[in-house]
Amino acid sequence: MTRLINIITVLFSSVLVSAIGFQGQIINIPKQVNELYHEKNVVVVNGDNYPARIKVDLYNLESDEKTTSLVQQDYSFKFQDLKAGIYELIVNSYDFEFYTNRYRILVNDEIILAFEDRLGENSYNKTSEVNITKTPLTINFKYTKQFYENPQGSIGDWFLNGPFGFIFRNRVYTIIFTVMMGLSVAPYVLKWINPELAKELQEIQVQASKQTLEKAPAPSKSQPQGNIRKRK
Amino acid sequence: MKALSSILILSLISFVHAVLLSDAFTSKEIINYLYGQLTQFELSNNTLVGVSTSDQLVGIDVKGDNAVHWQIHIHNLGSSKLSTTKEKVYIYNEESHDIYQVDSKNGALNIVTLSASPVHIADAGQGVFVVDSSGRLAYIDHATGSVSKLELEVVETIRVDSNGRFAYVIVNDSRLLKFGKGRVLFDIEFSVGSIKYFKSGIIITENDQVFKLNERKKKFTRIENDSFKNLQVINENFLYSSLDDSIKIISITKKVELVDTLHIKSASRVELLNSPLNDLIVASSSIGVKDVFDLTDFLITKNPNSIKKFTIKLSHSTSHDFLTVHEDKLALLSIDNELNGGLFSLFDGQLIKPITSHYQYYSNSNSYIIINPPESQQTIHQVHEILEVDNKYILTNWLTRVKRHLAELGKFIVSLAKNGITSNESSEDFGFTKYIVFFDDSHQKLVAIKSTGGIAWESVPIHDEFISLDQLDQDRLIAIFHGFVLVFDSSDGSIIERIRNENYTEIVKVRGTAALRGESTILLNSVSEDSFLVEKGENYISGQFIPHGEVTAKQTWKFRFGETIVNMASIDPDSTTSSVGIPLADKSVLYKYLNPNLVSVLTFDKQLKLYLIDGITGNLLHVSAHPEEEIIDLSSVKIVMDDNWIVYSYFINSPRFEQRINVVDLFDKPPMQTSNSVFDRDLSIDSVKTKSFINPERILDIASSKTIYGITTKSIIAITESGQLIEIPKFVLNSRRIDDRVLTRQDYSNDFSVIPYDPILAQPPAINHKYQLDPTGKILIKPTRFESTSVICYFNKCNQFCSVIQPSKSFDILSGSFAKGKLTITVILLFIVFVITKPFVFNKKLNRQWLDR
Repeated sequence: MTRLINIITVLFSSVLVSAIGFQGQIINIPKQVNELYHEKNVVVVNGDNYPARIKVDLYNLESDEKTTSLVQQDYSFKFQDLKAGIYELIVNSYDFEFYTNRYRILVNDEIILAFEDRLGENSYNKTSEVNITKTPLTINFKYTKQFYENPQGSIGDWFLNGPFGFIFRNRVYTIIFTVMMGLSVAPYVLKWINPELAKELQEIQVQASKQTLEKAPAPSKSQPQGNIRKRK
Repeated sequence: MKALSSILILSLISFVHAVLLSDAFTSKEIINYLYGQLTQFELSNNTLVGVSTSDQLVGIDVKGDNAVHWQIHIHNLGSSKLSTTKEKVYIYNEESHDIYQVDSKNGALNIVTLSASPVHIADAGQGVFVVDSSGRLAYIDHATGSVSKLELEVVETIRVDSNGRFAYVIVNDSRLLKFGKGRVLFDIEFSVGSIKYFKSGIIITENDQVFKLNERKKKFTRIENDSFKNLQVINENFLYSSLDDSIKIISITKKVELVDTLHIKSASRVELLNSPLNDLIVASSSIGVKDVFDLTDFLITKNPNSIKKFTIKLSHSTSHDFLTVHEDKLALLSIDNELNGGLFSLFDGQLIKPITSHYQYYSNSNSYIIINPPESQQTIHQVHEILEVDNKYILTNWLTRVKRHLAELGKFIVSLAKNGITSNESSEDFGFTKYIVFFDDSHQKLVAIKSTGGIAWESVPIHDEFISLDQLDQDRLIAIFHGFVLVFDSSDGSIIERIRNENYTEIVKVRGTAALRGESTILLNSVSEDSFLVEKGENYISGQFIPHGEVTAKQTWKFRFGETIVNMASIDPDSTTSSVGIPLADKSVLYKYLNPNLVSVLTFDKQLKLYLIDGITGNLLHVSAHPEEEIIDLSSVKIVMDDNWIVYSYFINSPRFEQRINVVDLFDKPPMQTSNSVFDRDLSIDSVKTKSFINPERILDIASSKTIYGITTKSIIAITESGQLIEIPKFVLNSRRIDDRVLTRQDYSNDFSVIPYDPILAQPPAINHKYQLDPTGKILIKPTRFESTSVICYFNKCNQFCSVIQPSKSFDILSGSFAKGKLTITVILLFIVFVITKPFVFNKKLNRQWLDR
């Protein structure tokens, strides 16, 4: 029976390309993205299915035709059966920003070349040429888009954004401020912690001021006396 | 410098509609994902996977919230076949070589490409066998998606039976292959005639002959059967035969033998449902009653008395039954084509939970309008009550007033206790609730959906071809159908008036009423003011005049363009403007050109041209043309007018491939003298300033924001190709942005939020945030009773999204994220500081009295 059937099992995971085409691969997408809707226990359609939220369009600049490719779960995509011509590849993700998402694709009968084509430039970047006939075009992840703004509502943020915020934003100012505040508050705190020491310090201070007064020259009689009031 | 200005613009834009974390996913955002009608669906991994009419493959959590959890747009899905396995769904089409393997839990996609188009897929437990159009057989592994190509003779048909460990494949109804451990274990040829069914090693032929596989002898043995028809296999030992009012359980251990007869309701649909541990026969009658026979114990004991029977009752007949597990217990999910039905326990047949689908109303033609809901009868009654107070007696008036106030206070307290401050009543009172009205072609109904969620009303079915819909006045709507023009009450959708349609195809808004346009234009009711209308042809526009007291329009002028009209716009009559000019640094005023009758027309022949024409006199006021070398995608040309500006967007293929937004600002001379007649007034535009911008993403539609008094700054709302609804402030799209020098102090004083010109717009955050929209719908905007806030909705076949926009931030509403706690802490801290410092201040004051200066 085995002569009737010739079973050859060939494992292949890639494509059988019938005509010229190319593949693309978006790389460095984080495996875990902290999503707010998980915390809020809300259902977002395709919330975790990020590849389904990426749109990959290839525009034929000579015929105005558009071909769309679906992005697979490994963030790869492919275009097959391309005719020779000039194309523009646009990759837009709803959730992620890429370093480059616009490419000029030049297809001839044997070779496919990709060039970065930045927005607002008069021409594509000719020095960024990549041959993508056999190797996939790699598109690099830049950052995850933020849809919600942090209100900066913590007490710390409140202080930082307040009128004295400039002190706390600078480390040196913060140290100086803390030392000064400590020095000004210390005598009062000392009264509570160690009243005897506080008294002693106060006496030293009084003596020091008396000595200063004694050393100072006596005021002349011609000078006005000021508002000297009797102490009770 | 460019980067700096981009950051500045981005920060300004985000300032406009920054959404705080605390506001995320709150009731401010309402979204409903639609799937329309599912043409085919199956249950896989507790998710209902179906093909929608709008070419979407959707995964619905049918046992949970019955809402869409994932969706994928696949080309030609309508004509594709769906093959469901335990955890994966395979979609294939005879026109393509691709097989889409989708994870039924989250919609993760894997594409497998064959050398020919697939024609048949059969599940084999750990993977699927695929036959392609060139007669080749392949095996796709569920977990890895890898393909094993099996080289046989030309394969036309396959029948697969799998028990988890081994897969038995009958090829071309004449050869059996046993697969296991990654190879073919044995292969036999046989001939049994035309096969109807193959399961558990049993073949049932078209003429109800039974053949049983003898693995030891590697052949099929015939079991004589002349007694039973319409046979199905339960397992390797039992069959059943379904008759009109009974099911016969048949043993095939050695010979065909009747074991038991199960009685069912006449003309029931009989189905065998299997799970790895359970086997049940479900007989569904046309009146929603299901007889369920649990054969699990019987198949072990082989005693007919161990067959358990119970009855499930539904309010209506359901055509789809799925065996599932709910909270670790076996359950039966029974639903109809609209996904309504119930989840029943298979322990006792009790209803676990009813399954109710979300409404699936949408307009095929994208004809949506947004209206303010009419005042409720209760409000109207209250107003009448206040107006009709008897003024003769002060005491009775006072008592009436006190009674009313107490009643209102009571209602407020009750509603506060029930719903809190953000109740629906308050959202309705302040105009946050709008109705989005449209005609649903599949249900043949006019439907009003509330912007805060839910259906407001549905009209009676209207079996006629829908043409157009608009608002007639505050309380009435008007819709043109092929045979009739119907006037609806906008509070409940009831039909007020029916007029014969004399070839009317368009509704034109006129102050106080509406005009119907067909071969001629007529007003529904005569009005006390003269009415001026503009009609658009293929390459012309014409002016029409309806004198007060008359209803028929007369043509007054016609303007022929040398080119085809691509798009045109006029200022929305509901739009309001609060300022007539911009104060400049030299204390003079730059006056805006505010002509509510201005019409903007974009035409194309060899180049795109913008014409500005006065809608009453037909005077050409301005024309500008784009360079001829610009190759424009004409389907992308969109235009919006408001205030003193025109914004139009278009996609350009050459010389550069980009999305452009052009802004045209019109300015007027200082007012010297006024004339009462529009014909005497100098309509010329003093200056026209333009600027062009590039948006990073393709724009599919644009609209202008509106507020109740027009004080708030305007914004342009656009829907991008990736499904983001973005808000670009008008002060960013400003034609007066300086592009040729460094900004001076005077420049900053000459306009609001002045920023240096950068052609590339920074992409603002999406209004719809994390919710991606299908970009094929209509943008709907209506002001609330707060000047700062407008309701914005985006409706199409796939999504119904509503939210609010605040172009100048929330200056008249205390936001929900307002830091009440911080305010309280601040007050308490100030009080503590006051208490602490009081003795110090006292001492200081006292010392000041004693010390010398």
